[in-house]
Amino acid sequence: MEYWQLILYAISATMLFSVLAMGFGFILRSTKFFNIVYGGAFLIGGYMMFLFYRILSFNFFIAFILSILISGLYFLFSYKFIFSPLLKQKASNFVLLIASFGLLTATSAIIGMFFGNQTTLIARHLSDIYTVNIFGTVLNIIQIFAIVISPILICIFAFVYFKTRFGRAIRAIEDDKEMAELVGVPSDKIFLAIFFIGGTLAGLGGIAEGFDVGIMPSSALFYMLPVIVATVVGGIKSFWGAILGTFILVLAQKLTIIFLGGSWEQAVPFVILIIMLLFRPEGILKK
Amino acid sequence: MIEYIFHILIIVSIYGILALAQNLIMGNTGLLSVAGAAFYGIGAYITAIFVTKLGFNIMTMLIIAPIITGFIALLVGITFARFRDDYFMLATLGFLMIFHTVVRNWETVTGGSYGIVGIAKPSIFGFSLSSPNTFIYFAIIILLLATAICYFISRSSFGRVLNSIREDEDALKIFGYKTSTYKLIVFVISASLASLGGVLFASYITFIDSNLFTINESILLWAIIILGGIAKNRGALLGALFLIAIPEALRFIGFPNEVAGLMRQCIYGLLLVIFMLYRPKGILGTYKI
Repeated sequence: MEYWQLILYAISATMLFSVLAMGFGFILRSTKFFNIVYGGAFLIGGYMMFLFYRILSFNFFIAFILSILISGLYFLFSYKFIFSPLLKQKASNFVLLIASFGLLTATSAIIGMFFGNQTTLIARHLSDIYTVNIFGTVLNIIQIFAIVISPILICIFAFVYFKTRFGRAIRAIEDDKEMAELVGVPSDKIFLAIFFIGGTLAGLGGIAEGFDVGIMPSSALFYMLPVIVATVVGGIKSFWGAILGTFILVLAQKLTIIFLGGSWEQAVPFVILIIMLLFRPEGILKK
Repeated sequence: MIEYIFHILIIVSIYGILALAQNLIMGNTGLLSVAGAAFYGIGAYITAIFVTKLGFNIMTMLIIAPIITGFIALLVGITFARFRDDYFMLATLGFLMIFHTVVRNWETVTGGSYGIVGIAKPSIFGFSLSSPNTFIYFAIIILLLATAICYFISRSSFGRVLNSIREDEDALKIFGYKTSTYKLIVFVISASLASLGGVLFASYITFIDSNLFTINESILLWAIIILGGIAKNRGALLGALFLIAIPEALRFIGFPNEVAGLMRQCIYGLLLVIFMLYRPKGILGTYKI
C-alpha cells in the first residue's frame, strides 16, 4: 500500500517537473546557456498567486491567469532588457551566466523582503486543498491536476513544436540563429514568444509547488537544479530529452528515499549529473 | 568603536582571501565556479572539528586545513578539470549541493543543522588573540601571505598558461599543453587558499553552521571580483573592501538584520547584472571576457 502511494506521488512529481523541464529546454536550446532566471519566473508565479489568491482573495481563475501572465512578462522583460542586449553583443556564456545568477539572486531577495524568507503555502490550511481517494491512496487536487494536465500540455507543445509554422521557426533558431534570420525568420519576435511561454510554464510550476508543498524565496535555485539536471541528463538537444531525464531523475530520487532516507534526496541529481557529464555529456537522447 | 573597525577589517581580510582564491580560478583561468563557498566551508568545518573534538591548536590548522581541503579538491578536480564553460559551473554547483547534504546529514561529526560551537580562538606562546584588536594581526598576516601567493602565481609562467586557458583553450591544446592538468592544479591551489579563509572565520566567530556557506556566499565572491576587476589581485582586495565594509553601514541606518541581509543580497545581484551589461571586466579589469 505504501509503495502504491509512493508510486503515485512519484508520477505526479514527474509530471510537474517534466513540464518545467520542457519549458527550460526551449530556453536552453534557443539561447544556448543555462538561464537560471527561469527559477525567478517560477518564484514569481507562486508568490503572485499567494498575493492575489490568499492575501487579496481574488477569484481562483483570475488570480491564476494574472499570476502566470506576470511570471511570463517577468521572464520576457528579463530577455528584453538583459539577455537580448548581451546576446546581441555576442557576450560569452561566462557573462550570460553571471548576469542570470545576479538577476535570480536579486529577484529572490526582493521577494524575501516582501513576503518573508520562510516557507509559504498558498492555501490557508492544508485541508483547504481538496483531496481525493484513489484505490486507498490520498492525492490532493494539485497532484491530480499534475497527472492529468501535464501530459496534455506536453502533447500540445509537442504538436506546436513539430507540426506548426511557429514550431518550425523555433527549431530553425535552435539550429542556427543567423541562418534562420537570413531566410526571414523574425528571430526577435520568436525569442520574445519563447521567453514569454517559458515564463508562464515556470510560473505554472511555481503555483503548483506553492499549493502542494509551499515555496521559499531563498531556495529558488534549488527548485530549478533538478530541472537543469533533468534537461542535461535527457539530452539538451532533444525535445523529448528533458522529459525522459525527469523520469530518470525522479525515479532515482524516490529509490534513494526508499533505501537511504529522505534527507539524501537533494544530492541525487548532482551525483547523476556528474556521472552523466563524465560518460555521456551530450545526454541520453541525441538529436 | 576602534574595535568595531577592527572587526570589519577582519571580515574584509577573510573575504579578501576568499576573493583572491576565487580570482585564481574565475579571473585568471576563466572558469566559472561556485565551489568557493564549499571550500571555504570545508576549511571552517575541518578547523571546527579538529579543534573542538581532537583538541588541535588553531595554528596547526593553518597547515592541516589547506592540506586536507587541497586533497578533497584534488579528488573532485580530477573529474571536474575535464569540463569547461557551463558544464564546469554546473559540476561545481553539484559539488556545493553535495557538500551541503553531507554537512546536514552527517550529524555525529558536523552537528547537522545545529552546527559546531565553542571553537577556540588562536593563541601564540600563551598570548591569546581573542579580541578584534589582537586577532587583526593574525588575519592581516594570513591575508598578506595569500596575496603574495596570488601575485607570485599570476606573474609566473604557470599564471600565463592559466591566462591562455581563459583566452583560448583549444589553441593551447594544439601547442601541446595539457590544459586539464593546469586546471586541476589551479583548482587545488584555489581550494587550499579558500580553506585558509575558513580557518580564520571559524576561529574568529567561534561558531559555524551549514547556512553560512550557501551559494549566496559564492555569488558575493563573484560580485567582489567583478566589481574590483576580473583577473586582478588588487581588484579582488578592493572589491572585498567595498562590498563588505560599505554594506556594514546599512546596519547603522537601522534596518532589521534579516531585511538588511536581503538588501545586501539584492544589491550584489543587481551589481552583477549591471556590470555584465555595461562593464563586464569590472572597475580595474583590463581583460575582455
